[in-house]
Amino acid sequence: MIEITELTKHYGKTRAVNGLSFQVRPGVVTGFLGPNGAGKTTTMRLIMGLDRPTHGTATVNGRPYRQLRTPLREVGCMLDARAFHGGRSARAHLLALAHSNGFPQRRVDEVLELTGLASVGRKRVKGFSLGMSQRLGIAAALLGDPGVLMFDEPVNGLDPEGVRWIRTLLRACADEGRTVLVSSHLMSEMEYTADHMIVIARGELVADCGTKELVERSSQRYIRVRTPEHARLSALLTEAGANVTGGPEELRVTRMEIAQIATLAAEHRLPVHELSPQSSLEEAFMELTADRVEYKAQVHHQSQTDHRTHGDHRGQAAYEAQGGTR
Amino acid sequence: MTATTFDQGRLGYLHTSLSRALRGELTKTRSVRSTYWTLFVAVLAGIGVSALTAWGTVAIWNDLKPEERADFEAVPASTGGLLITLITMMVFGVLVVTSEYASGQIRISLSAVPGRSMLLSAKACVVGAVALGAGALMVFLSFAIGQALFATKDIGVSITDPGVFWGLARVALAVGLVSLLAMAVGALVRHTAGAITLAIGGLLLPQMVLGFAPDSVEEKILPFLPGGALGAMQPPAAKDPATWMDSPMGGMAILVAWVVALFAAALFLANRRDA
Repeated sequence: MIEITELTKHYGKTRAVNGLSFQVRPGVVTGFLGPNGAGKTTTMRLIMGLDRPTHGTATVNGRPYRQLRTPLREVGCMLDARAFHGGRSARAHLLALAHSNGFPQRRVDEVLELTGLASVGRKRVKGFSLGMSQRLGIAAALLGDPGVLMFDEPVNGLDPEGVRWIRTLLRACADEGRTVLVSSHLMSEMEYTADHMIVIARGELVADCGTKELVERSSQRYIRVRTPEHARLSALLTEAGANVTGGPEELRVTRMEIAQIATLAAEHRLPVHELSPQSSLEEAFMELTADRVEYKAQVHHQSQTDHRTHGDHRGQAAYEAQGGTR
Repeated sequence: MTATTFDQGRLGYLHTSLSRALRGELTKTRSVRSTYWTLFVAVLAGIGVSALTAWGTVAIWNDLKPEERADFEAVPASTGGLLITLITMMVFGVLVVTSEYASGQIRISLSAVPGRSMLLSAKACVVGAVALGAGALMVFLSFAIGQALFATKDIGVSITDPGVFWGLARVALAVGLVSLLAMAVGALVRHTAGAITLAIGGLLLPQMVLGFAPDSVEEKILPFLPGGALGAMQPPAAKDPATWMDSPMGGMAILVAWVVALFAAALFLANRRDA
């Protein structure tokens, strides 16, 4: 259980986290979402006691991190997969951590086995690929078999196999009754991994609800229809009570189910090339955070959020998740 | 998938947090090659240069004038490579802290040992012990080699002669203290280049700069600086020290005070700064 109460952190004049309160419960995977610079990493650093909060508290199992006597037994975390001394072997890296918390050496071999690093345990981590580093970071997090796990962007830069491995691992950890907090700026990733979502933007809480609820709350759900007869179908759908937008490329239909659209098209013998529901967290997220993105790009492409994205006084730095139309 | 055979019973065979933290730091130190390279240079190069200078003295001994021969001190003349050992172990002390900040390892270290004072104390124990060991090894072996060379001219001393053993032990202690000083600077500055410059410069530069100042000024300031204190600690001990700080024990007290003060400052800041 992680509990955050009125957490605030200022770095000079920058308010990285601003009055944030939420709980992370055991037994589910909790996604921690927000655009780049929203304060996710800062929040995790505050939970781990790396930084001191300006206001408020962050506790793990009811106590501030700095007061944990055997911290690795209670919390496992991976903030930055690459943050370790490159000259050490994977095994030595884990062994030093194990020794510092009084764990036996056997536990190191167990987590090496668990993360598939047993064969490279004696190799120096300098030569590790990003995927292997990520596995080593996760091995370190699992070292003390902790009840609370925290990962900052664990799938960043991983290949599909690695992504699937992490997803399965997170799920398994939650099913074992652990508290699992995973940050990401990629909604699409979290949609398949997280049961619960905590969304922040500009250091403030935007949403704290179930993943389904978040998707359903999204007003951006629509059904994509591609047809060479877009004009006729569009007219028919509108007549039948649907709301239709979009052009020759695709029709975006809301307020009508897929089955009805298909039936309607079939009745009028109109060819349909695609009929797919477009409901995703990506849109929900964009909608939630649209007004609060720290670094906003001038949007040139056709986007759902065009009308919301106004020029930004902070400059034109590209916002990574902006190209999130799927 | 994460199922383990981990149970509470297998934990806690090391009871106090400090002994665990110490064990962790020791494992860290033992598991990087740079430690062994550092020790190799500190001990072997130190001994090598010491032997070379001792041999040089022996080689020109017959040509020296009587007053030059009178200035000869058999103990310091056998440890001429001390500066190499000192500087190498200072770099070692700095790197034990700053390399963790450079790589980001510090975040992992603090997640395992969240107490800043605990982590820095454990590091200090390891640094101090390693440097003391390296210093002792270098000093006593250099002495042995030097005296063997001096014996050919019948100018050597024995380790059993009064004050000799203690004089050598003080040098070894000085290596330990100076490496701790450097480590404290590393913990304060947290950047490798800056910390090394500050630590080594702070130890050696004041002597050079104050050399240009009037003697009265130099005498008032230098003994209270780490470099001056280090000088007072080294053999030969001042015969009739004018002031307490010119005596070996006085010098050691001043150096210890520097270490304690800088270490206290490092702990104070570490507990307040963001990692």
